[in-house]
Amino acid sequence: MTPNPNLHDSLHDLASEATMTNLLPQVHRTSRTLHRRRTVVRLTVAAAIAVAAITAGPLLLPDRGPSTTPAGPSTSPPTSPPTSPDLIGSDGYGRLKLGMTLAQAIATGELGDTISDQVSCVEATLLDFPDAQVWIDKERGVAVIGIVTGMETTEGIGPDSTVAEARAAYPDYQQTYNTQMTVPRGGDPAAQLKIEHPRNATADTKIDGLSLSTVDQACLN
Amino acid sequence: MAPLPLSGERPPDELVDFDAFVRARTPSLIRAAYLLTGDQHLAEDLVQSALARTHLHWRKIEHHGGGEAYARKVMYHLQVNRWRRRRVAEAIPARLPDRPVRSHDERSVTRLVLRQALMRLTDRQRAVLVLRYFEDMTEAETARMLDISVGTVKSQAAKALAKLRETAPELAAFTAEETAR
Repeated sequence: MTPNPNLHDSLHDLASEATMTNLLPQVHRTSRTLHRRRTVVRLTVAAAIAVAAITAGPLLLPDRGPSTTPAGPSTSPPTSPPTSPDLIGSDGYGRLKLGMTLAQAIATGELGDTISDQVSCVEATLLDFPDAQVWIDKERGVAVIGIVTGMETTEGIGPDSTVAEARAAYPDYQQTYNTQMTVPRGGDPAAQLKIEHPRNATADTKIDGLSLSTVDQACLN
Repeated sequence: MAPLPLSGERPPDELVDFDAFVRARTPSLIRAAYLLTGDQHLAEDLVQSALARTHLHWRKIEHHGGGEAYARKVMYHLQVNRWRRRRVAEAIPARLPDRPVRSHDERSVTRLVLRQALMRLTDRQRAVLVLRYFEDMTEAETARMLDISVGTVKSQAAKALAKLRETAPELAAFTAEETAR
């Protein structure tokens, strides 16, 4: 029978091969060496500065000329009124929809810079959110849209939501890994919301990554 | 056994704390280092260097309770940098373990195949895989640990899994499973 362990278990199994040894003596030895090296570097730098100061004489003395005053009174930045977050639906962001071809995606005007152009996928940003990354499969179209601060799902979940809020908003979530929940979003192509969270998260823990993707996306596999 | 310290030579508390920290956390660090280096001796060397550097800043770090996070971060950074310097020497498939591999049971075979497949990845790809699937960190946590962007984590993880599938089709069963992540 072919073993069918997941990568997590296999890595843990492989790591268990490592032999445990007491490293304390070596750690202290290495630490002393590093400390000595650091002291030598510091002394050398200090000596170099001292020599430079003597050689350069008054040039290195602090400038006692009239101090420059900051130009004009400091202006506090105008407080912008709180804006409502941009919504990301179950099929895409704004005019950009999952499954759109690269040409269609570009034509929406929602894309910003191209980060990389790989063999099968193009990685770009959203024009309005340069931190949000979008992956577009050259054959299958828009595959993944990252959701960053300032964006929110139509159910009110954003990168600052807690795990409990996400679970309440999406009771049909599946815990697909111990750091990830997946929410089926239906549609054509079938979409899903990926919600990452730290391991051992409690209800109050903030989620740590959010993206909308097609179920069969191949850009990030 | 080390002689008992004479009175007045008692090591300062911070050193006692550090030693306790090393004793408690070394096993966990060595396991991760073993995956990163594919070799027991290199793993010990890596952990030792990371802990020694942690010791230098211990008073500052420990005050904030960040000893483990610091040591781990130093370890990953050291490995990525060291790998760049010695790429040629270490790109050769890992040495076989010193002790004999248990006879042909499937688990041993999986270990061997996985170890060799891991060694064919780049430093960063392996670090991303170990952080994501061994340390169970999120993409954002992995990005912070390696000081790279979340996008780079995503694409490096994707490339690493693709390469595992290619170099070790025997492992296809689980790498296909991870695709869903």
